[in-house]
Amino acid sequence: MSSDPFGLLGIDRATATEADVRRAYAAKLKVTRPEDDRAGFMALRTAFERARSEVRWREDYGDDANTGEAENDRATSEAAAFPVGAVAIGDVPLAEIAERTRDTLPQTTPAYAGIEPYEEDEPSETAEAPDEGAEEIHHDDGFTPEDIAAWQPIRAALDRLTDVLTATGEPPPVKAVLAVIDGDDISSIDQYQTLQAQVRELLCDRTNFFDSATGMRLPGWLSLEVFDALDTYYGWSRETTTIPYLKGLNDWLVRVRRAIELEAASDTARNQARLEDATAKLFGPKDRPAETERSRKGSAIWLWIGAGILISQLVQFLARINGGG
Amino acid sequence: MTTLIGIDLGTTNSLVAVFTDAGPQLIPNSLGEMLTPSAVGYGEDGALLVGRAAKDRLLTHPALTGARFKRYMGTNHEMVLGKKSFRAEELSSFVLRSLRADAEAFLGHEVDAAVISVPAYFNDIQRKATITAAEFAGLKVNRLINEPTAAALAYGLQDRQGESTFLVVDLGGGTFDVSILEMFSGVMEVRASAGDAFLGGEDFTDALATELGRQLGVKPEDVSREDGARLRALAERMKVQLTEAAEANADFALKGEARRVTITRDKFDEITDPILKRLRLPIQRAISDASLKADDLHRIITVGGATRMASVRALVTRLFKRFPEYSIDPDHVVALGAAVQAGLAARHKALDDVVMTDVCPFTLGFETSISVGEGKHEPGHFTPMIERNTVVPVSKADVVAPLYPTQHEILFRIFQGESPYVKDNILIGTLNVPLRGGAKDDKSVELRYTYDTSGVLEVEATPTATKKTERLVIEGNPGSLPRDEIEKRLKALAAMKIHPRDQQENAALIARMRAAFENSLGDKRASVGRLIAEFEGVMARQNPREITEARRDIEAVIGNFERDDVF
Repeated sequence: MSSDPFGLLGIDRATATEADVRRAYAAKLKVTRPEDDRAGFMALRTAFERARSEVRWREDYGDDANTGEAENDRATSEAAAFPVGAVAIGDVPLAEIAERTRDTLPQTTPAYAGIEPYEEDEPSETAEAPDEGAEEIHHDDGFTPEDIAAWQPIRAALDRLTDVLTATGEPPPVKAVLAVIDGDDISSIDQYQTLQAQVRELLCDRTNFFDSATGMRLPGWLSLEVFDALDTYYGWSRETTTIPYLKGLNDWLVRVRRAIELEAASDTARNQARLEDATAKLFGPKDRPAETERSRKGSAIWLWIGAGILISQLVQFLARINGGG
Repeated sequence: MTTLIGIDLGTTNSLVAVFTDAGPQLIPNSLGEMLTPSAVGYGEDGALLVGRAAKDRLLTHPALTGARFKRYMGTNHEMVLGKKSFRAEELSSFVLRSLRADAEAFLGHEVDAAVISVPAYFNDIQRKATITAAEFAGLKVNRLINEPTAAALAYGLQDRQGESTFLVVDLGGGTFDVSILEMFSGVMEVRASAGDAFLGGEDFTDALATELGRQLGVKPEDVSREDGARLRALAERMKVQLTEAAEANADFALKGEARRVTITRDKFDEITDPILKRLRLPIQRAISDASLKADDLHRIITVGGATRMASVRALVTRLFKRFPEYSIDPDHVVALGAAVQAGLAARHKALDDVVMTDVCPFTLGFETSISVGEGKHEPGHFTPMIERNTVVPVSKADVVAPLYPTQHEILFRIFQGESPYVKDNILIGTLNVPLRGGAKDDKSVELRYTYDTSGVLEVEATPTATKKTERLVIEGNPGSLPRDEIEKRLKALAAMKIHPRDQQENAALIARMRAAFENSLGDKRASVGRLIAEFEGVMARQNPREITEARRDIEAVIGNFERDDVF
């Protein structure tokens, strides 16, 4: 994909705005319809997406930002998809946050520790709307009163949830947990999403995700029922995501669930599970014959058969030479 | 060139439409109705009945009739009608055949190709099953269109040069889809789709039927098949009543006596709450995938008959802090959109400034093993090739190497889904690629996924060394029919006797009267019985004019019996 996306769209790379890119794409699309010209459409679409992310990047971070388009393509789309101010971001570009691996995360503070209205650092998709230019939300650390107001119910719900979860040290009833997260004050889709991200971070934090030195810790209140209630409600373990940070959190939660399961099992069952784990490591998993295992066994046989064929051919060849001579 | 028709093949009802100079237009069936119930059954004479007649006979002859078979698309489940069992593709093909006949009668010429809508969240196997159903009905599928996308096309056409972002919430009889679309300069672009292929209005009806059974003190397994079918039909009727009223009452005829059942809207909401809750996650995911907030959405559109339910509307209103729109009939909009797509495909001149692009709503990938140290590998991991919500058509390739240099084959297991573990995703096919050469040779394989505009996947694997391409063979996998089986069934289906279209009206009326007979008691029941005998007498004399008149007379009075409280 070395061809110039702007060239394909027929616009000037230096001056093009996002609106220009969209208009050029729309015009070319009318004559390069996906159902008629598959290859042409795929090339056009790639050019459009790359040009758009380059222009967005420029509009968001200015001309002095690194505009290597291949990196920007991915980084910008990830940053754009970054749903909440999950970590204390400060002045670090979102793209960089998204690229951070789990190992660098302990230095950051979980968001629920302080007010972090997510609108602040999210590159706005509304920049696409025709009334663009009205937005001025990047690199701005000040919160508007609306932000604070929007944050109040989330904060309150999160506090209540923390109370319900940690009140006795024992697992709380699932009903009580659901009553908080499914309450009437968390009704809009934005609130639901924000709270979802916050609860995920809460769970990750309380299981020591952010402190890689000490490893996983399972608090007494985190029963399998409580975990599953939250996970069913928010769907973390059933999601794939391309955003490395969120993937890290989701993968961690899958591991947490496995650990709770193991913890919940009786001693005998636990020992049995460990034994099975160990045998699986030694002899490969038994539940599903991996194709690789099978091929490997097969390959030994094939090696002998192959050798046999070679030898017999050689014998025949020699015999023919001998016979011919 | 023949006319391309647009078909909405629904769980509960199906429709057919065509794109004309005046825009998309619905085509009525032989009864003059736009909605053809997706029901199929054997009639008195052993010929197959489709639509309303079959739906009504569901009450009187449940063993000979089938409905809601769309839920079994892409599975090996067979429905038994009388002595014969049918796959969902076959039953769907009868509905498609009936719609095709309606379109041919309406257009006055033969029709052999169609755009058919499918739930966005239909998987690859379900999509291919839909194409097979069309083939059984003698229709070539020009394209499968996702239902919410079709709905958006119908809405978008109203303001085609406008710039807006809208969210379509599509709750049909059996499936739930959410799509986010953006319109700019005549381009209709799907940004994200999410859904649940097993969540729909029928689940609400089932929940209500269970509740009614509880009130009557009967368990579903204890009632006869006929009583069960009637109870479910009553639940359906009361569910519809609750969209207008706060309470619904009815008498249910059980063992010869009328038993009172009551349901308030609050109680209905309470028993269906767990189903309602399942709507939120797909909505959340679509919005999150499109990187939008609720305020960025200019329009919220509800589609599908089940969005008429008060609780569904309330949920959408609460989530978005505003009322959803439904200016186009939620039962009609998908078929109208399918007709728009048919117009686009046929290059209708009225649509030359409109282009639509859709996405693949699932992640598609394959199983890999990851290293767990000490040379050990753990299989079962899902490696994505095409990420969900990628614009289609799309083609992506990656080079894959075998785990061990001595391998003689690589078995690619192709999955679709969002879980990082293949066990939670759907297996849609396997591809066995033989490798040549020894341990030192290059054994890498280029794996290519191509996803077309109908949402059908093709997988190719090409070993770098041989350049010999292997194509994915879906056949032999659970839920799909092998080619030779398709041919065999096609012949068998062609031989089946279908009730003639011009007699559908009579068959439907008789079925309707019999259903009313079952649902009434005492004097009224006797009156309905007399009506049936009278009409059968007229039918026997075979005078078309007399039949038409009798039909009109009966239709005028039969409603009175149906409105009755006893069911």
